[in-house]
Amino acid sequence: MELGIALTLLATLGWGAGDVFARKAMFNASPTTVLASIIGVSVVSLGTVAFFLEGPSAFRAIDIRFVGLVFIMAALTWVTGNLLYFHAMKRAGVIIAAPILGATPLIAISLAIAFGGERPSSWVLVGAASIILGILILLTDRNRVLR
Amino acid sequence: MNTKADHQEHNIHITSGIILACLSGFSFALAGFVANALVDNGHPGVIVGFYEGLFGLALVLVVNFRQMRGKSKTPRKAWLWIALAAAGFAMAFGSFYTALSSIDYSVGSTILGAVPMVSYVVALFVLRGTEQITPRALLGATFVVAGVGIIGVAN
Repeated sequence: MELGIALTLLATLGWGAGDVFARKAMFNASPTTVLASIIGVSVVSLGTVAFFLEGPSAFRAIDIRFVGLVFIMAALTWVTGNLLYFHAMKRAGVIIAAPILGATPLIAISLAIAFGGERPSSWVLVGAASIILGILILLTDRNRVLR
Repeated sequence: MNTKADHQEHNIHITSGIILACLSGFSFALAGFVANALVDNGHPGVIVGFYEGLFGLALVLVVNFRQMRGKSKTPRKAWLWIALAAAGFAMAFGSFYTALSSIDYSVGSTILGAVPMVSYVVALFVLRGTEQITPRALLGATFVVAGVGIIGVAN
């Protein structure tokens, strides 16, 4: 459990810093070039981690359903997710785009209510209100992107 | 007159960025649903992440093939930042997918709610003179992070 939390904190650090470095790179490179390079390095490092953690047989333990679902996931994460996010960072800046993306749990809850028939608790509604208020505050402060 | 037009154009540019960020958040939420289903079926998180990246790379290259062919060369200075960003994202994906084998997704996603705050701290040093962190931006981000934290704890 402690290792899991430590690894997630490391991931938080990586994503937070990675967003800013990507934004900096996009001053001189296209979002597509930045994204394609990032995916390439991520695939190699994940492949290496998976090889040592799960062994080579884990790469073959896939079926057609797995391939189909991962393909949909890949399109959602990398094409309509990260590619749009990188374009958003280039236009609105990381200071605006990062917190909006941080509100993804709110969207997940909305989907769970709409399609999963879930009923949110009052604390979830308080959290959702806090996220919406935060985004409204961010949206009314648009003039800080200098370049 | 020009200044007013420039200001309006600047606002439209930022608004389009905000819309793109919202669409991107929607995509990530949907992808999270699919990922959850796959990991619940017993597929290791790192294997899911590996194939997701592999298919994602192919899709991004196919979707942007024409655009990438026509682009001028990326300057060397940009490659340094691209390498740093790639190292950050690779570390994030590798450690988060590994962490999912020992913690719940709800716990992990709550901790990840602090990503904007990390971005702000790094931006203070890296994007100095380019992006400003105003008190209002900091307040807004704090509300978002607090909201994600409350939802995570409530779940």
